[in-house]
Amino acid sequence: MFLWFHRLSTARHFYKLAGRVAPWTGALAGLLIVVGLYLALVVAPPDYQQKDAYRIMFIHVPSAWMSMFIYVFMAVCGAIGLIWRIKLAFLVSTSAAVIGASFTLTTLVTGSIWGKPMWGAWWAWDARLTSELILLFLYLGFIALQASIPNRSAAQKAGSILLLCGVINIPIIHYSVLWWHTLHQDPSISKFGAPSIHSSMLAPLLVMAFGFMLFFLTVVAIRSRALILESEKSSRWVQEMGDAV
Amino acid sequence: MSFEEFISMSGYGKYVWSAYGFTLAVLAINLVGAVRRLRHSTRRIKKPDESGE
Repeated sequence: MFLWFHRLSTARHFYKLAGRVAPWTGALAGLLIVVGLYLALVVAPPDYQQKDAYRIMFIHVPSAWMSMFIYVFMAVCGAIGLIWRIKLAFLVSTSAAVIGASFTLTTLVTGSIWGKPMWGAWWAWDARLTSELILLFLYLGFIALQASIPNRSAAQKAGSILLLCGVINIPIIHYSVLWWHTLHQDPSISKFGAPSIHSSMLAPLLVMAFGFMLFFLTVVAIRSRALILESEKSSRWVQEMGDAV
Repeated sequence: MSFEEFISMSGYGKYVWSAYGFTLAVLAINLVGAVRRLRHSTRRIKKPDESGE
């Protein structure tokens, strides 16, 4: 078991494993997203109040879950990199930044498009909306910090510290709707007891969420492979691979 | 349900379709960007002389 972890933590084995996993997670992600779209747009019944506008929820909510999950994922990778000095953990953390920022952006944009017909405004300085916007700035700050420090090891350490400081924003986003009753609705899924949503509407939401999760894993696998090649280009196994082709 | 009804989304069509379109476009850009980056780095290790370094 320990040996397995050790091998996984070497760039070479991670590169191979990611290459083997990515086509499968990618295919499954594509399938789940197509099924999810069908369930969300065709099968699920219209809402009795919002009619068909509520269907935006099926991409808005999974995007929002991913925007927070990816941030925590990156912060945990950054912490592992700082504590055990594992370069690969930093690299995986960096490879998730763009897709994390993308899900945050789609959360904000789909929420805005949903807010216009339902709340009458594209944007409001509501607690949930504002904390999600701060999350976008944390992602962009991380990306800018990585790009602006030429020394790779220093950039990774600084980036990880930024990520860890920003983790405080995650519970703020989650509890914002309970702490400040401004505009955004309370959670429907994560309440204790049964979720207050019918199964015909819960199914597309969960299928889409799993599809987005697998899509994220696929993109991270591909991006990590690219970053491994770039950072290990002078090592022997990469050069041998280049010669072999 | 007719095709026109499906497209109109009880009058919220432009909101629903723009939200879905935007999200799927952003996901597609992420996938294409990641694959192109990997192709680019793979090409560079194969032909280090032509990379300009």
